[in-house]
Amino acid sequence: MTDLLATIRRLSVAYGDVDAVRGLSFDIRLGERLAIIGESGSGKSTFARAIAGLLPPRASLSGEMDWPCFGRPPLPGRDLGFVFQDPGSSLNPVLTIGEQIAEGARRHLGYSASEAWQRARELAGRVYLPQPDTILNAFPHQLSGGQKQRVAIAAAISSRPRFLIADEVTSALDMVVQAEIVSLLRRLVAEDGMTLLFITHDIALASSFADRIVVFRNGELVEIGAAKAVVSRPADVYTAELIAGHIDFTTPRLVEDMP
Amino acid sequence: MTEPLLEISGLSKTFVSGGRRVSAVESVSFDIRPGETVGLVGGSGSGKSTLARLLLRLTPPESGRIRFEGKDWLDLSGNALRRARARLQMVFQDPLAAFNPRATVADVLMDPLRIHGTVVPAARPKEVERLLERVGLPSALAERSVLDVSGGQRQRVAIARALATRPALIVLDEAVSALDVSVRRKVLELLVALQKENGLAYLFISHDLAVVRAVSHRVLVMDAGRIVEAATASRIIEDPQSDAAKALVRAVPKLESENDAAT
Repeated sequence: MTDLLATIRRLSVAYGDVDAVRGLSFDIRLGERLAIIGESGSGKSTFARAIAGLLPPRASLSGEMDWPCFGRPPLPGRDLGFVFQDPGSSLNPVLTIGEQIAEGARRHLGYSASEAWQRARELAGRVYLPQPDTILNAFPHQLSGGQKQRVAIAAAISSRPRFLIADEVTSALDMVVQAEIVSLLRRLVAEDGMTLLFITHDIALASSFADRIVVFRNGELVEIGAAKAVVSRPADVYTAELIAGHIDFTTPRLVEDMP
Repeated sequence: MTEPLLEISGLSKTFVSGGRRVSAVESVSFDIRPGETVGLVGGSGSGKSTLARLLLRLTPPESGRIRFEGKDWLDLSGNALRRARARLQMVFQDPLAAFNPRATVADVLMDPLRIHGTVVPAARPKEVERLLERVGLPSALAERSVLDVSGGQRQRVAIARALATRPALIVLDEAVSALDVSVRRKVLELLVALQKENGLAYLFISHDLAVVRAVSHRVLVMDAGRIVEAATASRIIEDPQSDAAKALVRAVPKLESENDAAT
């Protein structure tokens, strides 16, 4: 029995002459919520696609990835679910919501059409979609951004994967919906015992929710540690800058109230 | 008490969607004084972007009035409108979508100088240099393509373009939302510094109450097309009254350190 989901050693991904990520080495622990934090161009999304086997053909990958818990590379859609930033483009516009949620269960769990539909109905409830019976027969364009992201999450976990990757899943949503989606992910991951890789540019969001944080910059790993420890005692100047740049209600204001 | 720069009263706009009338903006009234930043905060679909579009005359309202610098803004046309437009500028979330992709930084800044005749033609190159300097960019950037500068630099160019016509009010619609944390703070500081130098007023639109609080003198909370709360930023954070304001306050993630865990 192992307590590791994945071990990543010297992982690099290049597009032509440009390295998107370089020499990444760290482990993903079974059952943890691991946040990858980075700004534009940090390589965080490339890393997520690399471990999910979703890199485009022109990318060249080197290094090692082992999957002690699967004993083989995970099968996307079966062993791992992937939720993307923009649910508007990750959902199929001509399939109903029910068909898209049911697909994973049909294809990977061998469910019949009616069993898979039943599974979709149950998942629609678990991700708090309103009026599941109506919404399962609706199409993506009839839903709000937050509802589409709930559908994408339901579709990603339909085949009961052990590993869920969420790549900037709240960046296109407003703050209130973001908070709802994060609390939904937290609950689903806990209930199903999934390992979560949560990719974000927001260190506060990561600190409120992840067990461990990895900080990326320009394709390299800057720092890794327990989430609260990284926030309290950042080991790297760059992490300290990210923390200092964060704006919340304790940040000194730049202007005064006007009467 | 200074005269308001902008006065909006009873502004309404409905859209028809799937045979149903949807009220996007409903009886909205507020004003902005010279040199003031009014934050407008709300979730997706709250109507804040429709309000911005009404204000910029990108879509006409059904009813309501907008007075800007003492004139009926919605009745202006021709030269009077062009002159007034110079005084009311805008900066959007994605500057790339707002720029001609073939343009250089200098082209982007020359356009408003030419259209509004802000300075005589011979003085334009110097003016471009001065605008870049005001937003903290090197003059060497002028000849670069707008595609060839970073996201933070591009948003500074968008601010410089807005400044080119010497506005009294700039509408900032999610203007810092797409920026990386490390550049976002600097762009906000730039906006505040420009305001102090020139007495500019801003309508700062965002879904992020923490950012709105940092830069706004007063805050309006919008929900389902209506302004449901208007108060100072401190007041809204400390004692939100409406459900919408309470949800926005709760939604801001906090940096959780080891100290928080201990308490």
